[in-house]
Amino acid sequence: MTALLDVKGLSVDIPLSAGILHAVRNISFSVERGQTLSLVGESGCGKSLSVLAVMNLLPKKATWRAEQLLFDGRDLTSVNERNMADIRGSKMAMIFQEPMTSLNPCYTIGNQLEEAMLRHQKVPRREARDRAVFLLEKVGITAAGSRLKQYPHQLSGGLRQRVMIAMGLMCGPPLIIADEPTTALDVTIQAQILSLMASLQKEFDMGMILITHDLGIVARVADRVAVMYCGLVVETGEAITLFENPLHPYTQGLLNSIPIPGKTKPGEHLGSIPGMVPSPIGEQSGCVFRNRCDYAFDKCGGQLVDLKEISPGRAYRCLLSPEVCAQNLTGSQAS
Amino acid sequence: MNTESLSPFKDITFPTPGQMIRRQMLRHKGFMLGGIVLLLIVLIALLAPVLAPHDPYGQDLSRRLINPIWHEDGTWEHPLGTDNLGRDYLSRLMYGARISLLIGVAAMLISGVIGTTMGVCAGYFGGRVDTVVSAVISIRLALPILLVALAIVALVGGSLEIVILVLGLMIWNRFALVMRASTQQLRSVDYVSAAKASGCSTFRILLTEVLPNILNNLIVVGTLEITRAILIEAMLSFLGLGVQPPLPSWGLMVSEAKEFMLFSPWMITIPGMAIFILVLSINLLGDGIRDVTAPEGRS
Amino acid sequence: MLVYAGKRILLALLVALAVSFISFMILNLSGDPAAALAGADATPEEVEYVREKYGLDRPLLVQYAEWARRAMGGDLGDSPYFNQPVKDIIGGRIGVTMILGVCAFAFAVFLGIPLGVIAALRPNTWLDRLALTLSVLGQAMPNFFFGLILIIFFGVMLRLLPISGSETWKHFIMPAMALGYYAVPSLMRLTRTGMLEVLASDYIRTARAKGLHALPVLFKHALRNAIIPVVALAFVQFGYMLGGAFVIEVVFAVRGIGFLAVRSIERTDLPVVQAIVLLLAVIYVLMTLFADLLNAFLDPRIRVK
Repeated sequence: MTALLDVKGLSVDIPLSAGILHAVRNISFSVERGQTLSLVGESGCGKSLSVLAVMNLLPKKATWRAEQLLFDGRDLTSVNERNMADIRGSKMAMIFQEPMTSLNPCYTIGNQLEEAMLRHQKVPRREARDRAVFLLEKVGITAAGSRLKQYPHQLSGGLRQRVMIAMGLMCGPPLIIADEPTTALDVTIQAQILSLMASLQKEFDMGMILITHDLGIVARVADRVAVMYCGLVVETGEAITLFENPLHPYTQGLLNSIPIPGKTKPGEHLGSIPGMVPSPIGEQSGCVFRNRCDYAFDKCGGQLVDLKEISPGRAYRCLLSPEVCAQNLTGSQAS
Repeated sequence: MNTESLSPFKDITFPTPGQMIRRQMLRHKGFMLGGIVLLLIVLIALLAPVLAPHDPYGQDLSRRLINPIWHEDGTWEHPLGTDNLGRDYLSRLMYGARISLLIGVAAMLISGVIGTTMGVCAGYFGGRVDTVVSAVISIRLALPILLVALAIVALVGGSLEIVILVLGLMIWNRFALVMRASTQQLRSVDYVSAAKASGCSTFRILLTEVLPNILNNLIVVGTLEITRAILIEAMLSFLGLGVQPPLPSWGLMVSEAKEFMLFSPWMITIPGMAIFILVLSINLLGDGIRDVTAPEGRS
Repeated sequence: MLVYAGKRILLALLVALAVSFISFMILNLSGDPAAALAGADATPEEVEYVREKYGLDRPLLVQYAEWARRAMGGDLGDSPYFNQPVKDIIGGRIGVTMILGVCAFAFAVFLGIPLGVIAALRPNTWLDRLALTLSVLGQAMPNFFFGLILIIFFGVMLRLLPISGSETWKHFIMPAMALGYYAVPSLMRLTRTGMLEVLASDYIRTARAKGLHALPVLFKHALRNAIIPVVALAFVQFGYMLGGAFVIEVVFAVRGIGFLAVRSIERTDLPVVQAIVLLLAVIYVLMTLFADLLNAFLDPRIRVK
């Protein structure tokens, strides 16, 4: 099956007064229809910037380039802004992290929902309104008809995020990108929104990229995972495989630091990764994780470490062999 | 594991805040330009008795309306020409700087004391004090001060002191509003609460905790009010209801030159441009200070 | 909502009343209205006679109360100079000042706001710096001097516009510019700051993510939000403009109420001055009130609770 979105060699640079910030460095990922890819990593690892680059919505100062950026067979690196604007919203929709500020306070919900459709399809307003009502009900908002006349400030955060989801679906796009869609919401609402998104994805057979720093969410919805650190992809694979056998020390560290139901025993210490994420400004030397890695050795400071693929779709970026990594895992689990 | 030495990226050093402010100030073109020009004007004003080639009040009716040096019949004895009473324009211009600066600074100080006291009290104590002060400010804002100032000077008689007093008593509104807002923001800030908790007297708190932190706002408003006072005085004097002749107020000079405006436009242009340049330099300086000391700074 | 507006109007009128009280006190304490009425070469006995005749010997508070009572009924007294009701004198001239004010307002708004939008779209480029430079220069320029420069340039050198009077529409062009230019810098800067802030906001990002083109994003989404405080400021500036219009009216010999006010001050025609001060105060408070209401109307967060 050809991928819905196939990204190879994507880089994003941001010029700062102190030098060039290499926020995203030569990463690759892909999504299929009906599948959820999760980009995981700490704040500042470049996951949001990666998808903004795909949609060409980066802030003005940032520049991006990619070896390949194929969407539904179309090469997005050579597409002009006018055509890109046609794709945005209709073929590729994005849901952002801040539902409280992502809607224009001066217009009604209905106006903004209808606008999402009327921009791309020449249909009468009534049709757009009906679709808006249909989708609002699909995302679980009751009394959808009267909601259309309300303003964003009259809705709670959870409701606003549902509206954002409905807005993303107005044109029935094959790809949905969700950038930390539940981070700003209450824990109880988080679960609801996630199930909602998962069921909508199945129903409309969409591809989804879910960006998050929360491994719990990844475990719940992702089919495939790409772990990012400091602008690089350090590990990829199927979600199940990754959780059972994480290879890269960073992934292992992440998993160690969250309680896993069924595995973590009560009273057991949760791990933490010592040190802080370095700022990727200027030239990199050696492995990007080495100053926080328990298993670093002299070679780690030598040359840049490449991504090693051990099976189709399963890769990691470490000098240690997979067997040693697995040993490290059982070792740390036993301690 | 020593995290610093193993950092995968070369070390970047960022400058300290003090260094940044100083660097920004020197790089800020407006600040430097405004500062230098203002300094020049202040020096000329202070040294006018020494620098001025003639007596600014010395009339010589045989030498009326001589053109400035850039006309064919100009003379270096009167580089900027003479006015309709034969008085040297350059000397009058220099002495005029003293008047503008004096009125600007004096009126700003008077209004500054009034407005800051009102604003800080309103912002700090809140409640009924705030209500009263806010009411007074609202009434003051609704008052057409230009007309009222005009009327007072007309009825009482114009003079340098009256103009300073009237202006000082009228233009305190911005001080009051800005100081009130700044103080309100500070009221609940940690170090103020700490001072209160350790039993400091209100006055002491106001002096040592509140005032230093609203200082840069104070400076910015101060420069704005100096220019406001200068512009209003120029306007009052232009209408004949401000500083009285024979004082060489720049506004008055424009007014006296108005009848000769069509044939000798330089006569109104020179004092007019003087006002413009003085106000511009002060504004640039104030903008520069604000840009450099504002917490957000420029991008 | 109606109760709220009603309370605000009442407060506004109270403020105007307080202003009239203060100006009454100031005007009557600064000079001697009886001496002015009697004339420059009147004897002390004649002055006293005038003082008694017009009730100027009563306590000031009583005089004010009398004036205020009449004023609320619409009677603003009589002008000793014109020997006519003040109301008529002002009524005949207020139209001119209003036209001047509206033209100046339009000039300021249609120059300042677009400049601010353009500057925000191209921040830190030569366009932005030009706009900011013009704004700094504009704020340093004394209004009477600017008016005279305009006269010399457009009136005398280019001979395009008439230099005094208020007969035709052409007569209002230069005065409107001279009155309106001072509001341009603040309007431009507020628009620019507001637009910069709005353009960086999340809902603009959402609009672009929906695939909207640049123009709808700019006008429908960005400007609609950024303009809210600017509109309010513009009306407050209008109030200030009317208060400072007298200088321009004098320079251009436009016979509006500002011109009348200056002449009346020179003639110590206090009833006229008092009435004009009250009028300007009322206009100012109504303008600020209108600006507040407009703010609430334009921003659904305030309007719809």
